[in-house]
Amino acid sequence: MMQCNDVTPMFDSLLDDELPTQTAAEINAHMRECLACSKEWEERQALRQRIHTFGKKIPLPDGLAERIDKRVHRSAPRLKYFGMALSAAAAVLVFSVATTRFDYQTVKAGLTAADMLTDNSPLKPSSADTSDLTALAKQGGFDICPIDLPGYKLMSARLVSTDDKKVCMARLTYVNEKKESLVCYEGCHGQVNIADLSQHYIEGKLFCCGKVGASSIVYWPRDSRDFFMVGTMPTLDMLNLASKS
Amino acid sequence: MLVESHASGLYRLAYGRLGNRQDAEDVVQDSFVKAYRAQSSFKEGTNAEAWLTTILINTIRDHIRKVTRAPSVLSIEEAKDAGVQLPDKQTAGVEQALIDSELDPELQAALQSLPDAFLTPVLLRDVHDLSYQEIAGVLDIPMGTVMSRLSRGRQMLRDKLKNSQCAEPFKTEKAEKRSKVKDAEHKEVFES
Repeated sequence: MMQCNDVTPMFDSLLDDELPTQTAAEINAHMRECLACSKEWEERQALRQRIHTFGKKIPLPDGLAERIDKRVHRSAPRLKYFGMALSAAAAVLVFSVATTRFDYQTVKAGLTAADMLTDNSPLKPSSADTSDLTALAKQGGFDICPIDLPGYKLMSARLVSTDDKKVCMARLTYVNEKKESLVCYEGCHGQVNIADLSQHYIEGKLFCCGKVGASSIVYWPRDSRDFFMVGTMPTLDMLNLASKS
Repeated sequence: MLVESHASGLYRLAYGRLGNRQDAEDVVQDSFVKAYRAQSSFKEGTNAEAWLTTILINTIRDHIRKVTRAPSVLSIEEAKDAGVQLPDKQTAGVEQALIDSELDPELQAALQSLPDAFLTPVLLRDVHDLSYQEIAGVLDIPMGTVMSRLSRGRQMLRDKLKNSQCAEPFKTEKAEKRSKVKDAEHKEVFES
């Protein structure tokens, strides 16, 4: 038969259903005979119930899950990337040139993409136009993978970079049968903040798009690489095209 | 999916630890962002709730550290002396005050006064319903330590609640019945 001194130290484990059945039965048997332990047990049960009720009564703020979703998705495009190009539609983009490693805190630093729209854009051509992607990739130091755009063919490519070469991207020009051109930029290191673009998940994959002036832009990260598409077609058409690439 | 299933539990845990709505929501949001970034470290088939809870506990600790390090602010007395117009509580924190009054102010005060080492295991068990083993994993402490901290934390709570003379909510149904019987007996004696 258990004594009071044996029983009370096990009250917490009994409360939490963490005791073997046999031990729990022995404690309960003791409490049937012992008023003091029984009273102590009731008090402990009451406190536990009180804490439990307190937890259950904590009201959840309206829209909590939606706000979390929004924040998580806003952080998504910042996960990897770096520099970028955007000759035209990039007023909404901000990019960092300070690091090649993801660092959330430094995203706010860097050039505003509005700078890219001026004649003094820091991204200058750093190679001649060519269709030889292998040579271009060697020169740039990263793989260049032309994307498969339905109805479009790759016409030419060249590298663009900042003067200090910290940002270097491939600029690929595609044309369709109507001789309409579409420009895509590819990069594979650095950061980009595209928080101002609208974000969409198509078949579980992130696409961000927006419009500045007459230009549309779509951004999508894929397999540690980042792609930007810039052109004058309607944004939704461009998004549709990018999602099929 | 993770957000839908776990946001409410994590929020309640954070609220229990921090005691106010805004801080609780901030740390929960931060935790999900961290979880998203660290999703590659999550192993499919393992306990997502425990993984998220670990992230939340660390985020809460960071938050508290940050708040503690923040420069001290003017006290209410100092502000009054300086002629600063203080916001009316009725307009400034109505929502928070309402939440506080509907919960259990004595218990909340007692919980907030516990050291983190004891409060967190109590909340993980009694609010978040984690097992001893899960708590040990989340806090990275041995199971024996979980048991002793739970026991000590609850003891501290009992002491604080007794000291704050809030015995009423402690009354169990049996105690209340006993009390009512005594009242009736007393009434009978008095009337006779």
